[in-house]
Amino acid sequence: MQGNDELIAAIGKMVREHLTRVLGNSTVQVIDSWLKQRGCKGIEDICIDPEKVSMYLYIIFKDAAILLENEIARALEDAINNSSKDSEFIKDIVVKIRSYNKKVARI
Amino acid sequence: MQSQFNEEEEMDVYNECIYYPEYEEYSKDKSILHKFLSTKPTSLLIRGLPGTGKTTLALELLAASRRPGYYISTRVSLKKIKEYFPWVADLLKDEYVVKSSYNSNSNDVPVTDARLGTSKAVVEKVMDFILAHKDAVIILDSWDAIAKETNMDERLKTEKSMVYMADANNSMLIFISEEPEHNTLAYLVDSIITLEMYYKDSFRIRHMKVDKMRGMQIDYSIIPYTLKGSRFIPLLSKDYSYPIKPIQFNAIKNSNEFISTGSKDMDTVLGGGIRKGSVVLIEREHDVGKSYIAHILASLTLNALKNRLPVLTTPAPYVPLKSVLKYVEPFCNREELSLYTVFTKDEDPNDYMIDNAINVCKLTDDVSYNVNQTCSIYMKSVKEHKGTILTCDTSLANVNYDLNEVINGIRKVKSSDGVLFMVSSRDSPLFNALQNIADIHLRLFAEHGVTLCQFMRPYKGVHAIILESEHKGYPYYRLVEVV
Repeated sequence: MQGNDELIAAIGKMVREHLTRVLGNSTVQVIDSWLKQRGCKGIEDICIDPEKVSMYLYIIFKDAAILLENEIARALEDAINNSSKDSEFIKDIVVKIRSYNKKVARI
Repeated sequence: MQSQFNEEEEMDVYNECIYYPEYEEYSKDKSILHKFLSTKPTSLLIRGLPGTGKTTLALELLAASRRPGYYISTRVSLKKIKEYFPWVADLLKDEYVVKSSYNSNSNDVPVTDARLGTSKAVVEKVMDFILAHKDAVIILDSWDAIAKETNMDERLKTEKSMVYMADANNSMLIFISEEPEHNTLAYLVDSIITLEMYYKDSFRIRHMKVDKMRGMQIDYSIIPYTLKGSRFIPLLSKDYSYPIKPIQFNAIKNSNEFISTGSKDMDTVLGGGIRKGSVVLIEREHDVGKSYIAHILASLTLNALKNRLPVLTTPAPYVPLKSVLKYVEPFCNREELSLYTVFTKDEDPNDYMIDNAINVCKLTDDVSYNVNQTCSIYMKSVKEHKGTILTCDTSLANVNYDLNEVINGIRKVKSSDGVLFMVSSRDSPLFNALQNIADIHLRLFAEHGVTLCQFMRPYKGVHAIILESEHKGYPYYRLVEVV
């Protein structure tokens, strides 16, 4: 993971930008600090523990979070297509986000 | 003006308007607000200019929902809110006090003073409360004050986020807006209520417009209301009210000086009732249902009969005797009815005389004879019983009265211990004379389906008339001051 610091920062930035585009800056800041209170570093933790961040977004937005996370997953997939760097790492994050969403959708 | 209700009675009016499910079918406003709460809405926008009662309505909904509540104020301190809304003061607590003594069973509504806050701080408070208390009701009063400091794009996104958070967690957000023209929430929220007020003949009329209620059929989109006692009381509309199970009229005792109207509310507004020797003019506009006149006259009549005071009645010519007796006969006994005299043109009044003790006097086509006959019977009755009530409905009479005869008759009443009640309308030939002579002048008119009584002389403001005979068991009405 150490070699991926740059990538993690880039993904974190991308996720943050996407959420800000949808939810607004104030809401993203609030969610960020809420995640920090729960042991995450913030939204950037989507790279480290995607399922956990997905779960927290689901707690806040319930079903509306599924589409939100799918959009994040799609943005990451687009990033894979545009970059040759460690696509396996990003693919793994995408799979984890999508698998959490599938679990939730089944519930 | 002093309240005409004691605290308990005021609560009754309020409860019957908003709370009690058994009144639902009789109350259009009640069914709207309660049906609205029962649909578990996630967002409501209450908009209106300053002073229309937005905060009052929001607090009423919060109290009626009986769900965990949270009040975020961007304009007024908790101290002021408690001063303005004493009925909810016990419920509202400083946020930090509630947090320090948190008890999940407590009904306390934490209040955050967000006057110096940012939209981020408000979102944070909203999210924390929604996630900590499922099924919460949160009032943002007013959201505009904070939101207008952010750009439009950010504002839209923040509003969307908060509404979705509330929706996801079975909570409800009540946005209060004082700037309807700048509002961006209309498309997002489940429901929109606009509060408006306007001035008519120097008094204020308020009404709420139900612009949108998602998932609900709106039968009445404009509902007048009053803010009496800092409460939000939607006003009821009923064209007809008659006791389901008639019982004897519950009389109010007449005093030496005053004759009661039979309505505690009316007596209170008039300062104790009607002074003996008074002439009362009830000005009726054409959109006022006859049931309202019937209730005012029936309460007066029944109360007088129960106080052993004779009543002489000349109903409007178009009203059949049967319709007059319907509001009197079932609510007093035969002995009391023997003090009741009705002047009528009905073809066969004998049917009524046979069945009960009521005196029926036949009116002729000679108006002059009728006036003199009525005066003569009245004077005899006053002398015999030390008081009598005479009621005449001339509102739709197309009769050429001799004005001098009528005025002479009225003079006799004024110098007696009786009371004269005249119902009239502006197009009646007698109206101008009556208006000048009357000691008490009440004007009845309708506004958005609600019948209002304006106390023109003595000036005592405007009151909504609420008919409640069904459950009371006898002709009964209440007055709720329109403020």
